[in-house]
Amino acid sequence: MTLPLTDPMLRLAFFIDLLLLIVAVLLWFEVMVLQSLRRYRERLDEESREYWRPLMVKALIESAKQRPPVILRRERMALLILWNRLHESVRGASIENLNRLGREADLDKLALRLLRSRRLKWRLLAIRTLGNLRERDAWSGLRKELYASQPTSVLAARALLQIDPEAALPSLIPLLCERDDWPVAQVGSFLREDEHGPLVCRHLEKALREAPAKYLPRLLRYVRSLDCADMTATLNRLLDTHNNPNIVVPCLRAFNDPVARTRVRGYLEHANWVVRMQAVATLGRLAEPEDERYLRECLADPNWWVRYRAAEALVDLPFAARDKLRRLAAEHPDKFARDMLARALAHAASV
Amino acid sequence: MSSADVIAVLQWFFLLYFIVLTTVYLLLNLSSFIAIRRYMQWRSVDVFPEIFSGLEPPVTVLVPAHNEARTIVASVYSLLQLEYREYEILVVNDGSSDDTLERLIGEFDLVAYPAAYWQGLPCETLKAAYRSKRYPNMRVLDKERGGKADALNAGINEARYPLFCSIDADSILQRDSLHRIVQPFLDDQRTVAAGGIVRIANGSVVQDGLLVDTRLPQGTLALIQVVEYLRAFLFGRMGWAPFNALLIISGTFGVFDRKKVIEAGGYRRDTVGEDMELVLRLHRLFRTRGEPYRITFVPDPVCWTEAPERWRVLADQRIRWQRGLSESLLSNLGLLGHYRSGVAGWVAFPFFLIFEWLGPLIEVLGYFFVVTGFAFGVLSASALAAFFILAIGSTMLLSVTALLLEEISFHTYQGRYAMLRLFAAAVLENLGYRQINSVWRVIGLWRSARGTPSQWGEMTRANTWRHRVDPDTRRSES
Repeated sequence: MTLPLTDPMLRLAFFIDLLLLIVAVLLWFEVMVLQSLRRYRERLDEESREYWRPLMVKALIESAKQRPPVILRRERMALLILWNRLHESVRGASIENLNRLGREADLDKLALRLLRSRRLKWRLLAIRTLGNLRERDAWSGLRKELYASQPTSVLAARALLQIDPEAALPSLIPLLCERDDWPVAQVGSFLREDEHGPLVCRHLEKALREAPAKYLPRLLRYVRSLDCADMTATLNRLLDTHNNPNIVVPCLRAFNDPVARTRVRGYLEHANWVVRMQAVATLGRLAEPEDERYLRECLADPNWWVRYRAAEALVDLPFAARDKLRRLAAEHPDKFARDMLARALAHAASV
Repeated sequence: MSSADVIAVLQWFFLLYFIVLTTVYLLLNLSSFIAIRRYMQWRSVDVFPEIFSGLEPPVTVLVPAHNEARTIVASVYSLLQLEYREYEILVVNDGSSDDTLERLIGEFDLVAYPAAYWQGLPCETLKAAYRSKRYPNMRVLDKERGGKADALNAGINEARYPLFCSIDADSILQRDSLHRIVQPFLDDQRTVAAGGIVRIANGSVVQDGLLVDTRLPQGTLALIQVVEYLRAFLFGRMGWAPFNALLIISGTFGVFDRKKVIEAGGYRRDTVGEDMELVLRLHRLFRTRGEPYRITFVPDPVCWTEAPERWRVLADQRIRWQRGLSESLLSNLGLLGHYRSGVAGWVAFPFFLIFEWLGPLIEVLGYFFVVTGFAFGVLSASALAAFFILAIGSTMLLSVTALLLEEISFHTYQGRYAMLRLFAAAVLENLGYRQINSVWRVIGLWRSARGTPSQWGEMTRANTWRHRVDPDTRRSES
């Protein structure tokens, strides 16, 4: 029995077929149109860059003698990207000259307007520009962006810190604890920028004393990232009151003063192997000659990873004689220790 | 129920199947479109300032190699040219019967070193470990044959760094591939795995082992696969990533958190779909534990691979992929419908079961039904036409949306007629290629059901990218 075309199912099928084919063809035309538009835009952007780059490079060296030309609408994107890239690759007086050029070209007004744009890329560019310009008028707008999603909020945090670090940090420090979507490495890098590190470390130290325990591991990662000085007393206090490896390990990692070695050595026999491993790594970093014997003892630790770190630490000690270590690798009573040290020595020889 | 009723029910079933399949794919498209647009907005404005560079964690690049004597030296040289702050290359010679190891030893000045091997993940016996005297960040492990998954486990055991990157010996990367694919780990410390787009290298130009000029392949078979890969990656993967429901990271190029993979037990050695199986198991592990994690996807074209240009080789590949899919899904049924499994277990997993696992069988039965129905006069010519136009039209629409996504994102193929050729391939794909593919996938399903032993088989490489590495200059010869 065959179904005629009057059958509703068949008619539906043909209707859907027609729709699919029409949409497919229309989409393909859209692809071709987008391709042409893109090529046109790329050409325009390249022309903008070729026009503005010499002006900006000249501005790096000397103050402009006349007002820069008006920015055309179609030039905005390329210009802002170029200006920000240049800004972040120079230092000193060049930054001041570039900022002067930026203000004379009304980049500050443009960026303030773009901060309210609904399009993400314009807001991101605006935030970065306002931070680089140290534009105080953007303060309240940037503060709102602190609570947006990543990367908007991270860029806003950086911009606020660039404009006024003393005023920004009381807002930023709680966010360092709470925003687990903020990448520590990247945030740490801008916290160190422009020599803000010591100021940030002071605030971090205060936070370590006052923050709930659940935020401590994250805060300690920032302490390590900034390599904060004068933290030994605070870290010791934390170790006095916390036994949880989630806090002990980052505390050990954050030590950077050789004075802490005695405290660190106390963890070389901890029940948790991750703690022992971190203690070995930290001791290796801070070691004085008398610590060498402790690291040698760790070569015989029952855990592979502790032995591995101990071997690496020994080989990396600037004062450890290679001949002595080679003899140890041949003569150590523990076979696992011998193997591990031989491996570390072989690796060091290849570097 | 009369035969007419049965025919009507079947017709409705197949019609609904295609409608639902197309609708779900279009929704995935929409998800990808939003995600890619957002990503491209970040990229287009160079979001992160210069100070954020150089923060990438070190990576061990694992290169499992079995009988790769022809290409292994070029592959390693290409990896040595990656622009990345700190990484090592760890080639795992998996019981090669050719002179893969000898070529490596000769070319890279390898010397044996004491391994002090940590056997955390199961793998076959390690015979020797070598380091290069000339390239400090290159090592080679020589082991008994155990298969790709086994080789990867051995590499994970020996890796020095917190992240590892799994790569095929014939994968071609770009200089900044590692830099791009590692970004999710920097952006979000919950990330345990990240994959990137794999593109077809056929027809492109490679110099010194790195891709320098992207071109479309000349052959129709490879050109059709370009469209397939665009579909599969641009929305097939990208669509799921925002929901943390990406179930596959290609073994051709993916980066993983070493500690988390060890916690999950490493790669399974008794499946040919070890890449998908691991990702499914990671989802299952973290979801059932209620632990926050992220498995994500970077839409950048980061890796290029050679597509088969012979039907026989293509058939083997597709049969193997379907087997891998089958084995991976069936061994991780615990994820399906688990109360904590979220979108991964409640949406993505059933989708894969119905439309990717069983889908080829339904399609082949559909073709069989309409063709035999027409032959026996049960179905009219118009019903036959309607079915075929629906099947062809839906895939064409999906392919064109993939071309649209390609244009709004990376517009990799720049030639004047590139889009025209891709559109033609998108049409041609449906005139036999797709149908044959479905048959191969059904064969893969059948072999999986029968429990026929899995094997990788041999990939015949045409190496249509024109390079050889001159041993004296180590420069390519076109």
